Amino acid sequence: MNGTSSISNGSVNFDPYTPVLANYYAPSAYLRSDLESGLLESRHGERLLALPEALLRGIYTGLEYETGQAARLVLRNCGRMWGKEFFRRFAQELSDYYQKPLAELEMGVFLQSLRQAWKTHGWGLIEIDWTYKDQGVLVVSIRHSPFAAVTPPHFKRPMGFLEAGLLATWFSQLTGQDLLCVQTASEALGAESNLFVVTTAARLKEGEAWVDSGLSHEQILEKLLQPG
Amino acid sequence: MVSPLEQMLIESEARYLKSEELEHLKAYVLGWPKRQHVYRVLRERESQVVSQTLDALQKEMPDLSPPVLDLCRRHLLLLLRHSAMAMLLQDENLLKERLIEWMEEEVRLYGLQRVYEVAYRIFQQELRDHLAPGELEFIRPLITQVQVALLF
Repeated sequence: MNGTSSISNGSVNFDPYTPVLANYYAPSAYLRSDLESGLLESRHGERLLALPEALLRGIYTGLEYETGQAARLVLRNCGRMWGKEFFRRFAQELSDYYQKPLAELEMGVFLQSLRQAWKTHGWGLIEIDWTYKDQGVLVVSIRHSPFAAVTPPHFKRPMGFLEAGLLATWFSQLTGQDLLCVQTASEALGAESNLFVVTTAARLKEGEAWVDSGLSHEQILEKLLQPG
Repeated sequence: MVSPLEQMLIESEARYLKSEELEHLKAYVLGWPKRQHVYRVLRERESQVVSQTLDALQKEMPDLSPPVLDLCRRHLLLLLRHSAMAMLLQDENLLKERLIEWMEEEVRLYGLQRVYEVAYRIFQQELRDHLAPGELEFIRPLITQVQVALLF
């Protein structure tokens, strides 16, 4: 135990100048801005960028204009790249902070950190539902998603391909499996929260087609959980 | 989230402070020595208050596992430290942002509600034993605020 640099499990250290590790992503500690350079960065020293709504809207409409249906694929692939980078950074930040590899963090700390990271980056409130984990399916819910909020109104299906790509890669990196993620409900279409199902790529290969054909989140979940 | 003081600076951008804002600032500064005194007392006695709370808790609930006790210890330290800072800077937002949000999730996740009802009762008593009444009144409202947020 590294009782010298932090108060953590098992150490009987009451030194008042040793920090007790908790919320790494508390906004006032995590977000830093430099007046001189006009830049934002994280407490780990990595660049952060404020993404204006106008840019997000521009990305959606620009991609649709330039690539039509392929916009979905482009967004998903961007999400995947983003997920890969975000996971790397998340793992690095937390393992530096807690002085142990990500895999050795207590589950509670890990999950809480993920929720707080999401929130502090301004991506909404994320919850992971483990109910179906034994059947190999995770349900992720994100409320107040900025990506859903700027979806152009003419889309009549969930368009969170960026987030779906991000989540797929994120959980793939975490579990070491090839996972896919499909958005099954969207705030942009009046749902209470954005719902995503995450499972192996093989089981979800029809996923987007199910969404296209108008199946609800519950119906898709039912299909995935059917034995065989 | 910004502190009330920072908020005042933001709102008074490129103008003079109004009388009531100046009064507010004055009260903040005049209260500083007393708050700093209480802050130092807390810093000195933290170790005693927390270990005695844990000892008493263990006596009352002998079945608690070492990981729960350890979590409890970390939470009590966080509680005392963040409350002390919130008191010193008169910024209750600090509690919400840095402490309550974090703790309430862990309390829920590990099902600590019942343990913490006992722990808080003991902790409040320990504070009464270690602080003079004039010191206690500075920190108690903040501790109670966290207790209410976590347990009700």
